[in-house]
Amino acid sequence: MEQERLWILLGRKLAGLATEEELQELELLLLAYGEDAATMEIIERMWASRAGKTTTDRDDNILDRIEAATRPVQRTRRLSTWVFSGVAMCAAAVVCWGVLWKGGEKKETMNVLFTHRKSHSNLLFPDGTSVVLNENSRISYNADFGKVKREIVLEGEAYFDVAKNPGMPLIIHAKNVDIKVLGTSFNVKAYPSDKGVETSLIKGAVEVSSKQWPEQKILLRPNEKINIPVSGGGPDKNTAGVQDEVDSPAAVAAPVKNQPLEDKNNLTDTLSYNLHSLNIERTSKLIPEIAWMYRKLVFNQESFESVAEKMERWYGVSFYFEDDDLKKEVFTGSFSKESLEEALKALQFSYSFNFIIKKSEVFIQRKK
Amino acid sequence: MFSIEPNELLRQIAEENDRRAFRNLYDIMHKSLYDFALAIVKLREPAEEITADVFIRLWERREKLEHGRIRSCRLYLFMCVKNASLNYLRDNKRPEQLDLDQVSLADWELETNPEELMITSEMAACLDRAIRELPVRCGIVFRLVKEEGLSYKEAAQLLDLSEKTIENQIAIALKKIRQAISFKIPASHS
Repeated sequence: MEQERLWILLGRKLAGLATEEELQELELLLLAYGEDAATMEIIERMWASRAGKTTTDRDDNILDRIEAATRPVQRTRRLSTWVFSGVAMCAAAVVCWGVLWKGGEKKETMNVLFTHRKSHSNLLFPDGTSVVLNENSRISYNADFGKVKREIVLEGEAYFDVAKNPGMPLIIHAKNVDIKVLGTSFNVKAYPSDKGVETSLIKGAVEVSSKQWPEQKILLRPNEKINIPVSGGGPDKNTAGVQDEVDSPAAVAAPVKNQPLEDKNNLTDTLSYNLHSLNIERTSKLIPEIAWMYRKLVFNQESFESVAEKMERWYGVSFYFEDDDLKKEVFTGSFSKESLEEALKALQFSYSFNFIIKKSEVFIQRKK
Repeated sequence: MFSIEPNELLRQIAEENDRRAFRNLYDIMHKSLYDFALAIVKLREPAEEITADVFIRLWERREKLEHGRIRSCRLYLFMCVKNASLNYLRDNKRPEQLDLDQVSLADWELETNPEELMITSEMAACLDRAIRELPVRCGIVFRLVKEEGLSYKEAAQLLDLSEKTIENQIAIALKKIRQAISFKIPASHS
């Protein structure tokens, strides 16, 4: 009877209904029945994942019926039905249609999807490519994706599982970096606040290059990550190729005349980058770079500065350090549902420091 | 800006006459609603028709929609599909009660992505089989709660069951899934 209780409680936990007491009771029952953490982890991940939904003719049938019955009399062209019917999304993502301007004259229709804070989005493209979009991120892709070419512009972070198509490579533009893909799984992190574009390859092969030195291509091997710094400071919207549809026509029409000729100064330089290997963090058994997909924050031998950066995004706070040496302390660990305070207290176990939380600001001080 | 939260989309449709919100709602919901309709009526064409009609009626009635009183757009749409499906059964001289032991989940497949769960494809296949082999009553509750994100209360309302029954069915599903993968984990000691 007791053991039935375990599954009732686990169900309540997964459905988000369990109280604090029930969670504690569940922990005790899991221990009592010798349920190992790995199995529970798989069940929890299974629960959190959404089955991919494949598109069939049925979907078009349903859509055709609806459109025929509800369209206004002056029929407008159907907006790239085939792309959108293939896109299965989880809650809280946002869709809109934008227009991409490339090289001044050429106009191309782009579909734009973005996520808010604390929401992920699973996208499935008609060619079989799947993308998991992390919070506060946006991607846009050509409306005829998969027909003549496959191009995606990314701002933020996403995990790509690209369907093989040797005749049509997928190209991802993130800030100043282009990633050419033939068929593989990898993660790209390029938030506006990031100092560079980080590409982590899980399997397959990708070719990474920067817009400034397109000839210099770097071939990434599985379990490697590359970080290419953004040249000339902040992200450059025009090179990234994204033009918000909310922009005024004047802004769109204005050529890139006012851009500083930064490329000229850099002509003699070559591409600088950092290459690292990916490692699995032992306790969570996850690769830190893609732990966000499992709604986990994982760091492996990382500096306090980089840990703080991740926690800033995770908890929506800002960190302030008393001195720069503190930033160099190294931590390993993982968080999922811990509150900010609990997480900081856990960090204190491996290195003793003081912290003060004031609303959304965290002050880190040396222990006196 | 367009939200993808169904309740918000419903508001945009009702208040702002927003066709894109309507399209978004379709994108998010049509597949699940179709699967649910098919589970009840068991025929593809009628299931397509029922799903399309629910959306068409929603659009036509958008101005009269008391969306403020619809607490959950998801549940509302599932309810519409359920009623339309039962009407279809009645019109075709078949039982017009939702008989949970008679629904068909054959087409409502949940497929596990081994990479996402970081498990072997063999284990993923075991998981899928365990889900597929759940008793239908259990399977439909599992799909509605896990996959469609209905709360226990909403699932209970939709299926005319008690919340306690939903809770038990989820427990049964989890236990079966646990059993299905127990022999596949190398370091498992149970």
